[in-house]
Amino acid sequence: MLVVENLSKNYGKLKALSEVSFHIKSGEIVGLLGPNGAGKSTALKAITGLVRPNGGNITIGEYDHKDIKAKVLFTYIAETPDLYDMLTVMEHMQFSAYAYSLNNWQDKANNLLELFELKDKANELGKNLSKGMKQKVSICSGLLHNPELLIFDEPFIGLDPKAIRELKNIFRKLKDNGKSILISSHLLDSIEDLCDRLLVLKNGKLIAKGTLDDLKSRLESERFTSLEDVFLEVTK
Amino acid sequence: MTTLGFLFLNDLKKFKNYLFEIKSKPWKLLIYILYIGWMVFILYAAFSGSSDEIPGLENIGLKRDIFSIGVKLLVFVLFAYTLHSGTKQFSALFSMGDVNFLFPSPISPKVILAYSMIKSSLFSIISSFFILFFIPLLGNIFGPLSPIGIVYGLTGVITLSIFTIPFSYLTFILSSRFGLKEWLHYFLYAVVVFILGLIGYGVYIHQDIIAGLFWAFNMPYFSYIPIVGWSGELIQMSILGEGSFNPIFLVLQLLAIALTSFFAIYLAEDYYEDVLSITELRAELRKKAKEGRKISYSNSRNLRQKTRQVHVRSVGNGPWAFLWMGLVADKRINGSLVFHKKTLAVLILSIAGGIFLPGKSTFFFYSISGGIAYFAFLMSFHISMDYELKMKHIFVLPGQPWKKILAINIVSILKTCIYIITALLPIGIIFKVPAFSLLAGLVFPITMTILNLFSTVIIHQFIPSNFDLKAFFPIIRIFSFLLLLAPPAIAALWVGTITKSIPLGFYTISFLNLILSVLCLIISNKIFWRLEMR
Repeated sequence: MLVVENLSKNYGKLKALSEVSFHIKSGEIVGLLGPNGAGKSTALKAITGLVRPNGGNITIGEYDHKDIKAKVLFTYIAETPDLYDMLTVMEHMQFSAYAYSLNNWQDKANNLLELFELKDKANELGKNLSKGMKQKVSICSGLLHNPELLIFDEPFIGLDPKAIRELKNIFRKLKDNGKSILISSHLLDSIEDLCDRLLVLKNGKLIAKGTLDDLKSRLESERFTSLEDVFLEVTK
Repeated sequence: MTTLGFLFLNDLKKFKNYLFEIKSKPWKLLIYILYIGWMVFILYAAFSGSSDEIPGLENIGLKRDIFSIGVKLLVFVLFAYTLHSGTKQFSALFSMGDVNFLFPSPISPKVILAYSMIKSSLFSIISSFFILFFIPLLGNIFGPLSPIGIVYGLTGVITLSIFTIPFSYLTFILSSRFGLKEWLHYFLYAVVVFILGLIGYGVYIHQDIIAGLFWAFNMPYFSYIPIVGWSGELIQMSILGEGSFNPIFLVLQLLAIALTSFFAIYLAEDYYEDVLSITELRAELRKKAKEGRKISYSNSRNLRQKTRQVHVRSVGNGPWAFLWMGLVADKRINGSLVFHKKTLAVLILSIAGGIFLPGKSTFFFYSISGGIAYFAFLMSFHISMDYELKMKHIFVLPGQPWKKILAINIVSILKTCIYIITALLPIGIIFKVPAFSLLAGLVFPITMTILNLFSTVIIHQFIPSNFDLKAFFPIIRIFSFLLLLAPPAIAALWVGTITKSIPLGFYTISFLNLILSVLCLIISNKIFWRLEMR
């Protein structure tokens, strides 16, 4: 579903990403990990076309990531869940429906809002919502057009425990339906039981990739039992 | 529905919500009423004929020449500014909502840019109609204006402002993608040098600055310079009336807009990254402004571009940590409290003013001091550290409230002292003002600023919400005038009249300003509990 080959991105002299390559298959959840400033958000922005890569290829489905046809296939939930200040929650859903040329979207929109306990906020303006609620609205809008690839930048930050559980359940359901999910997160225990594979970035380079068991076995020590142990060891 | 139609509908919804929001926040209505009142006042002043003709310029030909030069100069400055800023950044107005929702959507970036240009053009057209406010004034100065001339003038303003939108993007694309930034700068410098050369030649052949300026700007060739000349011609038609070439200039101007728009949209590929940083920066500034922090756009950009490593020694414990923090922030932004570009500019202006201003007298020095004090009064509301009054540190750090308030204001006070001394001392010395009077002229605006800073703290304690502050702003101004400015002014007038000494009047007002400042500090200390984090 997503193929990233030799992705590089420079900001002036700073190499934010250096020859990063990975892929995500259909029905797979992949976690993108890394310390602060590792290049996780830049990688996601490059995939979604928000920043221009200096080198490499990105393919979504069978299309180049900047192709309009590729954009129909994915959704991107940004780290900072900024909404349109002067649109209501339901109007954000309507916006997504129009932008993605959806028909009969209302029922699904209502279901999503209900799932994330936003039903009573449907007519509330974006600017009046808390950060967590904004995050929920972003997620609901992103899920509305039933994308094949879902890209989340720190999706759990700002969410309450119930919403985190609901989102995890949604991730699992989407995976069962053959959707691909790329999650960047600092909350290691939140994604430990969720991801099929992990990618670890450090200083713009992909320093480790594989399943959690792969990474553990590569470290050849029984001391490393959790994702946190593995992460701290490989990024040392 | 077409994509453009959908985007338009989306903006209409935002506008509808904005109007409906007034119901839930009636205070917004007060702001609008005040703005409408202000506009009605301007219109009334303009149409009631209170704007007399400019004294000393009875010659209508001379007035028209001055108007013509003013228009051409303004058009040229706007053109140069658009070109120069366009080489650095693309100033399209996108929001973070656009970044998160619109950019990743399957809508063509070209359509998004085209819609953004149309939207900006609509705003330009609406704001251009404010020019109509000046028509009565122009009529008073230049006599009755012809309706067709007004139409041409307005069209000139509208087409010029619309032109800057695609032109800004085109300039940006040419400089960032095609590496033509330096060439565009060279072009701009060449145009500036050419115009300066023309003015210089005019001055040389006429042996007079004004005559040379008129000669250069009224050359017939000037009208044929693309955009600048065409717009200038159209705008000045508002007072000069229609000429035979005006329809051609209008057609050329519209063609230029169409062509630049076409090329801008044609080249609009992959520009999201270009607008991302400026959009994020704007969102950040807006957030800070909501918190009450006044940080300039340029300062914010500087802070983002590089972090200057600074070292400031401790100035004390407890509340004085605020003073240390203020010194660090100022040093990081300006390099030094005293020696930086702004003080140098003020110093140069002051020396130039001292040399070139006519009527070098002590009384004139007092007038300048009074003017600066008034300016400081207007500005101090904005420079006050109200941001700190809304951050958690002021509540949680240990220390007496009056010390905290004093500590957060000291850097502002020091900066104001430096600016005022830099602005007034050279003028005073060049004017040969006696030392007693010079000191009086210096302390008056300084104490005025101190009083305003401390009174602003009380205002924030009584009205912690920025939104309410905006709504109450005119009332606050009236009260601060009646309670804080008028009593010292009356006392100073009385002392000055009895002693027949202007400096003693200035010293009186300064002394009373300081007394009132201390009083404000005491009151702030007493009602510190009213502060709340919003």
